[in-house]
Amino acid sequence: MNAMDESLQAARERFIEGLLSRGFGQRDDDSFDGSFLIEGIAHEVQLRITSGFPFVPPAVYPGSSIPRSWHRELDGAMCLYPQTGREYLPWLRIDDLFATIREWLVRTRHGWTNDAPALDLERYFHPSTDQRMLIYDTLTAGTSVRIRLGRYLARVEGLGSAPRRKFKNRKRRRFACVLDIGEPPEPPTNWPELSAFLLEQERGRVERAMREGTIDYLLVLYCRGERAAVLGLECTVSASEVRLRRVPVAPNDDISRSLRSGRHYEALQRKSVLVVGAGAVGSQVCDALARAGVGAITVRDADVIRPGNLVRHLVDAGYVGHPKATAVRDFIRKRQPQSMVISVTTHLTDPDEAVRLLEHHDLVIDCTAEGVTSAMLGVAAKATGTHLISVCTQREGDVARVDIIPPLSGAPLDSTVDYGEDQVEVWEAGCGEPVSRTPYYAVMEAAALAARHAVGILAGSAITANGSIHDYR
Amino acid sequence: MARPWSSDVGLRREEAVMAVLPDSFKVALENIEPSDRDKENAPLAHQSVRNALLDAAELKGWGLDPVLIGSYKRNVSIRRVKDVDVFCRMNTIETSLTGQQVLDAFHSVLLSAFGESRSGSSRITRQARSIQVRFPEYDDLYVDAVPARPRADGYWEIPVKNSTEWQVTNPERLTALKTAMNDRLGDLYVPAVKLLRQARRTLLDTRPGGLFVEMCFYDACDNGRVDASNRSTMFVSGLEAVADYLTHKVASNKPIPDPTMPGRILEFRATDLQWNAARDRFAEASAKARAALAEDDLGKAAFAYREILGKGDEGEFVFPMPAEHDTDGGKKQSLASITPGDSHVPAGDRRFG
Repeated sequence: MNAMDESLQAARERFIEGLLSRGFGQRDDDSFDGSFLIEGIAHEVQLRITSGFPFVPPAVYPGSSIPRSWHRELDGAMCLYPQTGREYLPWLRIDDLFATIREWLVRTRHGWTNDAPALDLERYFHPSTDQRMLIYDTLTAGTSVRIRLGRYLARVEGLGSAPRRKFKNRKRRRFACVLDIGEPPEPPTNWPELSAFLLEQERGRVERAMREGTIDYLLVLYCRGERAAVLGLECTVSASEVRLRRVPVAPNDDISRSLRSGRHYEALQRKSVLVVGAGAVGSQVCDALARAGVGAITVRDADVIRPGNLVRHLVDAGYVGHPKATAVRDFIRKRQPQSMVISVTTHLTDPDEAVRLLEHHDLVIDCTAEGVTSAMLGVAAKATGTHLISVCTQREGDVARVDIIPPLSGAPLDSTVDYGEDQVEVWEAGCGEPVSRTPYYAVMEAAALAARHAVGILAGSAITANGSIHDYR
Repeated sequence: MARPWSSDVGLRREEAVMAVLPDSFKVALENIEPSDRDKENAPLAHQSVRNALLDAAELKGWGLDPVLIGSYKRNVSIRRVKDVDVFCRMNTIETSLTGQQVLDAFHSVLLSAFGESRSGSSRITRQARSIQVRFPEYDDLYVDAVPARPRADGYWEIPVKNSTEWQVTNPERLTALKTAMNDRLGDLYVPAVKLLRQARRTLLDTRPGGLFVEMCFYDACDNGRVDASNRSTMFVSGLEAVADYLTHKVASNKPIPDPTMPGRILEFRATDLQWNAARDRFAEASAKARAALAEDDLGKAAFAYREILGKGDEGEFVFPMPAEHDTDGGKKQSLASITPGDSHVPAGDRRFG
């Protein structure tokens, strides 16, 4: 037995000893029977050690006297542990496990009042074999919608009445009814239970459409507490029984697409940032700020994309030969059509323009790593009483640094220039300077550091007064 | 049998401590289970003897109907199966024939059928109540052919040593009783018999034999004196029951009733020295087992069970140590050990990737 097998076997043996010593009986190698006294009533449970133990909790099944309610798996097992908090494998403490089972039984008996509003009605339906993601923008209860099918995606196109007969071009187009069941007191698991939340007229209309095959999906709006969600169900009719199977659904509106942008999204929407330099670091900075929600980004660079840039740059091979600034603009817009990114393809050489830009934008980020441009911007910032961020890597990625110029307070960071003789110079035709061999991950690190500082400043909570250095020398 | 667990009922933690080791007992049973080879050889040997007897012209007219009996038939044999008992029912034999005359006839038939082995040694041995046939080709398995004639009361009679008399017996009933007891005790009876037989083989040199242990245990089960909660409690309380019978046997020659023939008692052969030794060793073993059952430390408990059950036919200990424990019962040091409450992820919880 190798060390891993021994650990797993030992955990299993300890767990089983804990069960048996507390009065559980062993039915077979992996199944155990026990009983819990809840408010004077004995409740039988069956506990099964499942594949993946101890890194998955045991499955615990209540007796048939417990009616179906919230917090049940599809196979009827109790849902005892949320996804968070499992790192400590809490079920291995038998006393805690038993306490959790007791609590589940008590709360089930009392109808799960004051329950956390989990939006998970889909867990109570078996999955459809068709797992194409169904995405939608906005849905209105009581309507029918057209759905266009792709290879991986099903997309709600818009309102459309379900046809009177079963639609012929079913490979590419389907129809769905949008229903609203409000806040269900217990989870529906089939059509009769779901339809009980509908008015009789609507129930009849929808059921007729399902049986005639003129609709293929139900998009069910529901809420729990103040939160709303959509349940997607594929409907089929088999031996006169309406069968509902869940399909994955996801909202595709602007708000949903920005939900994971970060907690400063709303504040950043009102900000304007200029990124000077759309090379490796600058392109990644633009991307990071667009994803974080900066409302207007101007990216400026006079250079063009070379094949050798692609290994570190944001854009892909389709942009070779394009101006770097427009390439970054187009690439970001392709992912986030709603974002405002403006490109400027000229060098910044005029000191007066530098002053105007610093005064116009909420923040300027220097990603040029060009001595003269950086010096000009630095002087202009000091002259105008503004602050800019300058970001670079050094020593082929061993150093990533962000400087706030001038610092918000205190002194600037120390120099990290390295005149070491041991760096190998690499040249490429068409480049007047040696090519930097900074690897992609160092570029990402510098860009992420710059984005973090930029968001801090824009949101009014700068993370440091003068910048950061990551020095791996 | 599961008991209600609830803090309301007040089952205190210290009352519940017990080393059950179900996985180890399961493996121990696998380790003493007759091998595939045993299971192939036994029926072949039985069939050979059966055919020889049925084909014998001189036995025609006796209404021979041989059937398997004994520990192998009852599925309580342990590895390695050394002998198989064939109960040769003679439904129409003349009542004037003595047991010795019948044994003579069996001896002649089996000698003629099996004679000598390739090495020239005899394969046939005449015993007190049976003719024994050795099968070198089946790993030296022995078949004991026991002649039996019917009685009016439904029982049977087998020859008596050095006598013209016959002795009453009813061995087939024991198979049915074993099955019923196993059903009654949730399939825990047969495994416990095997474990007790293995313990006897480890503790004692020869007599009393496995049947004695089995019958003590059967009687204790029949009278509700064993704990059928699980395999470990059955084993421990079974050892205690056997120890108890031995104590009374030595002290006052207390008999064990024969469950196959109500009103009669069982008789087992052993010398006084052998009875005394059995009493002492089973007493020690049962105390050790009881302490093991109450042990909090799984390694120490397993070490005790391992000593009681000893080694199998291949020279390896029958009872495996639980995982992460050394053969001396100590805990192994392991970086990969999974202990409740330990953190295996330095960052803790609520991570995003």
